[in-house]
Amino acid sequence: MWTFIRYILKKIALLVPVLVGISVMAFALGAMSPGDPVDQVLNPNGNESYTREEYDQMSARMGLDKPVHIQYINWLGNLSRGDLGRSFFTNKSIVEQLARRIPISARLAGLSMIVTVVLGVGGGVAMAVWKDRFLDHLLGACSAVALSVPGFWTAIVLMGLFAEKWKLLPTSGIVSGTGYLLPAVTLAIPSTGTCARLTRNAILDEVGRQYVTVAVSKGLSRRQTIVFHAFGNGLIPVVTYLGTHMAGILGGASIVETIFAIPGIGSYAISAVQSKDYYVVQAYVLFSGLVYVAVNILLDLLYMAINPRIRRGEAGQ
Amino acid sequence: MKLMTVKMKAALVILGGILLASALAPLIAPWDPLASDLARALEGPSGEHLLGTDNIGRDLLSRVLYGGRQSILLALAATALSMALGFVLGLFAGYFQGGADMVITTASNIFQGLPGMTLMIAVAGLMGQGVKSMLLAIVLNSWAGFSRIVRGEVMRLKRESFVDGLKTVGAGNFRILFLHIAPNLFGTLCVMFATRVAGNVIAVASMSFLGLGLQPPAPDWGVMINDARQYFRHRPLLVLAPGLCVVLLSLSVNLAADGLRDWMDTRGENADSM
Repeated sequence: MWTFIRYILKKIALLVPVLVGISVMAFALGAMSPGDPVDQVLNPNGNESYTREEYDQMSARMGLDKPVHIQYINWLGNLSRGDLGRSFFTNKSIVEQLARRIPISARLAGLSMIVTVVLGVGGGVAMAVWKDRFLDHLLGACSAVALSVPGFWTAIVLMGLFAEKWKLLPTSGIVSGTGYLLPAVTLAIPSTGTCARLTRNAILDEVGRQYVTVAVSKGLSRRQTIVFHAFGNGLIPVVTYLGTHMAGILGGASIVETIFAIPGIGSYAISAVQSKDYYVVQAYVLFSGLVYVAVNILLDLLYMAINPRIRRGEAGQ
Repeated sequence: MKLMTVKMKAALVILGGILLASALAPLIAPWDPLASDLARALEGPSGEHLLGTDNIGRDLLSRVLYGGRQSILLALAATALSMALGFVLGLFAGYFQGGADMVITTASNIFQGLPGMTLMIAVAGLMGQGVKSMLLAIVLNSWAGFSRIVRGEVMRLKRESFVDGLKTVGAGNFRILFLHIAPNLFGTLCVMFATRVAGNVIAVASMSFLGLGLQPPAPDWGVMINDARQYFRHRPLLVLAPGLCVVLLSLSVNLAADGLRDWMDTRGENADSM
């Protein structure tokens, strides 16, 4: 049990510098960007004038008159109190916006994950079972195409066909639950391709090992061996991919969210980038990094669940 | 094992076709890709305009032919820069280990810790629109993958006996690293480069689509797809033609990378069995 806890603590300790680095980068991306936030607040339309005193006052109120490292520390301090500041333009609290948008992006990521797992893992198992047969080649070609398709293009084409032409699904927004369907499928296409390939290769790697030969010689069919033995052991690379992919969509589905007008984290970030609303961008980068770190900790716990050698604390033996 | 599979041949034919068409665009394009004729906007395919015209009457075929020129070069340049950076950092991290390794590995973890699109959009968006910030964004996003793989390979090669031999005869660290270890990474880097180019073709198109990379009225596939969005129902070709070009380019590069990897794997196996 102690090796167990030590292992996890060690893993978390390794992630601390990553977390600090991500927070520095999130902050720096905003601080280094061109454009003057004080000017943006005082003069949002570009046609208002202000005096030097007004400028200095606002600069002091926003904390921007202090040196950069003090600004960073203040930013972290506010962060620890759950305050990420307000958008320059809408003056809405960023934390509140995130709280409203995260569940929406999470729902989208979850749905696309289900599609990826069902089609990707299913396809990969089928490819491994029928290796070098017609189905393997066919699905192999499909997965190669799937991972070469740009998401923004799929989004426009699917939207044009299913929403505008055949009027089966809503074009945009999430007023009805079906609004998630097209964006989730769009996001799932490339990941399904990758997942199918990984699953196929992971299983075939396992099939070459001794215990599979043993299982076969004990009378199991090749297909049974794959499904009951090789599949479970080959899961680790697939689970790793799915985990990082999930983290990726949760923060990185910006283009697809924008096209389908899904009010999630990604579309928030795009509009912030376009208007140089850099507190929002900082919050967004930080959030994406946090998700990554959290997913990595979860993945480590999962490895332990899957692999008994890690669970027992291999290093101690 | 055949030297070239059918898949690899098909990939090279498609890739060659796209590269040739892009290179020869000024010679073979029937119209000026920038010349607009509002009176003939959104026309369907005809003898004069083989693929029809876009919303301000520019010839679609000519724009598609020109559309890859800048983005292919940008994807290649961005990938080459990322590879150079990742290669050097990975060499140092893997060979010298210790403090340098810790700093480089932590940095690569940080850069890989952000979803690719998050990082690229934030960098390109905040640094201002344009080609330079797009290049920077892609390089920042892709160097870590190279450095990680190179580091692992160097750590493996460092333990091989030829390195001990070189040390015994008095070769210096840099000599060993650059003249004797680095050449062994050539194959791995080729495969990684190809795989990454396929991804970066999509990244360049995506950023131009968002207005963060190449700017209108440039004849570029990403820009064209964005321009044509609202006309998809009426003139689907405006979206389909440039999109298919991106898909075919990325697919052929991906398949070529697969072929290269298989070829090197079998070569590696043969070498081991000897």
